[in-house]
Amino acid sequence: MKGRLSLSVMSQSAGQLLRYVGGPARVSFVACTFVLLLGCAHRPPDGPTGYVSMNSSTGAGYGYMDKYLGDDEYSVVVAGNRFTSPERVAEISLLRAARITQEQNRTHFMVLNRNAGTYTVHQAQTVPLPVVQAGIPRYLAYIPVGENTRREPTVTVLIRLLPLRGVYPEDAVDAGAVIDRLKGRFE
Amino acid sequence: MKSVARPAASSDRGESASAIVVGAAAVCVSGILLLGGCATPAKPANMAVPAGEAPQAAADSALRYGIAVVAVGGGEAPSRDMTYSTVGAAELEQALRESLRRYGYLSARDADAPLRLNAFLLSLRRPHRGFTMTATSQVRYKMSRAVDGKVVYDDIVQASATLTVDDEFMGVSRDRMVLETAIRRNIAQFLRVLYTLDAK
Repeated sequence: MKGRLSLSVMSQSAGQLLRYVGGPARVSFVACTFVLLLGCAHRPPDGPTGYVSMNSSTGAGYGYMDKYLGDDEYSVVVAGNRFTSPERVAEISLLRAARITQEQNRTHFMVLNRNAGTYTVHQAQTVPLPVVQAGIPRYLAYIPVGENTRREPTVTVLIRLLPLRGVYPEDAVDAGAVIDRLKGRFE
Repeated sequence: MKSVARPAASSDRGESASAIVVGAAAVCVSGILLLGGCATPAKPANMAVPAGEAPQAAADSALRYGIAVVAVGGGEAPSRDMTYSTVGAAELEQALRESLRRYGYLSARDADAPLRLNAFLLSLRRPHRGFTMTATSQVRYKMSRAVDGKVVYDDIVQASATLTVDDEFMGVSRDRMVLETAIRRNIAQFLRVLYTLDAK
């Protein structure tokens, strides 16, 4: 409620300010306001998340991200967009775990921990602000009118790679079998 | 006549558009610099759990002053272009140590501690840029006995935080604060887990 009030006050204040600012300065004012308040928004893709790597440097975007924890243990975190089902997110995490196992020249892994849930995502709703230059209407800036809030699926899996030789426990997962079963869906 | 006039008008509009772009860029850059628009790394002091957000270690608990932080990993590298905030392993370790100290769990000497704690930042889901920002942190805490290495706790703790323009007006500052809050709540959640272990 407080957030909505602030947005409303901000929109009114911006509108009053814009009356006294014209031309290029108006465009600059609006652009600056959005850079400072919102930052660089990124538009999510329109299809379900595939077997793709998340932006590893920022942890943003969608797909998988894995980290080595030491002692042959890895974490795999998968974030799906709003078009992605929890089942698909779980399959991507399993496929990534199997790929890691084979990349490390192993054949089996064990799931130590699994945490499935959702992330809350807020996205600003905007309307275009018509800016007229030389008699031609242009839509260069956008005014916030509200926000969308949604939940997106995620899963985190901790795995341990098993030694190449030895007797595997009953709950050991065969990486090759997982890849054979899932690769057709994602490649 | 018309065929001559059209290119001239088009050229005027082109120059006008160029002036707009240059002007917008100049004002944006100077505005960002003047208003401190560069993102900064998360601060340990803001991620440490303040007193009163979790229960203190009980006076007769085996965990009281009994935990040594042996390794903290998974931290993020600083942003090269300073467009987003990050949480490094060193900052996370400082915040964790300070929180454990405040709540009576951190051992004075690591070598004497009966319990060894490893913490690993698995993911820090940062917000889409917007007015309302939500961040979610996932940390794996693994605690084992020093004497025989037996694992007494191993789980993933998840915590979220949401901030609006009422909490912080500037987007870049809000981005950093929401990450710090997500980490602080994660550590607070772990302190509650420790208290539960404590009670057993």
